[in-house]
Amino acid sequence: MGFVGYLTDMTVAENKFLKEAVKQGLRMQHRFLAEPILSRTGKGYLKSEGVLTLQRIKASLKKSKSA
Amino acid sequence: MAELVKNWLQIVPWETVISINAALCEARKALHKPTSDGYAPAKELWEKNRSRKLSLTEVLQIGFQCHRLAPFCNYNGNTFVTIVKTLLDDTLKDMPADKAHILRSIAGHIVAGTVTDIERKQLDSILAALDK
Repeated sequence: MGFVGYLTDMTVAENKFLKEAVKQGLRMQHRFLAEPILSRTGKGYLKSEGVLTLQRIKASLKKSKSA
Repeated sequence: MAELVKNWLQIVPWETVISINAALCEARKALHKPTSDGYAPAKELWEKNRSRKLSLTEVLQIGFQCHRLAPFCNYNGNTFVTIVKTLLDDTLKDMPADKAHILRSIAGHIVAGTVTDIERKQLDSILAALDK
């Protein structure tokens, strides 16, 4: 199957996955380096997201429990 | 949690992996091109496992191995971390949001090759709790 065939034969689930994955990938792209670090060094690179997101999630869970 | 063993990669044909990498490279004006040594083995590993039922641990391992094989010139890490995190979205939607966030984060670190021993133990204990 060629690439055009892939695009036309995609299932709804595959298409939905592709869109979500690209959205997610672009959102966190600033945390990665372009070059293939892991294959060259055996140690990958990923900039820390920090604890803010988790703190926000925990705060909203606490808020919804107390409501 | 029985749903953690399933055909994880069924909805991700290799062409989707290529498309994701192409989109990520385009966004940063980076070269999107297959590598001469990593592309074929990574594709083979991916396709071999697409129809198989896999545990979450196996999926993470395949993501890590594909990342390490570096099938593309750029953004291999983001490509496979993104795939694994997106695959997890649906499965973890019924889990408490904080636990789901931690699990997704550790999964990303495993595929990225930056996981710590503490995180591995944390993942094991989350998975063990899900099995109960």
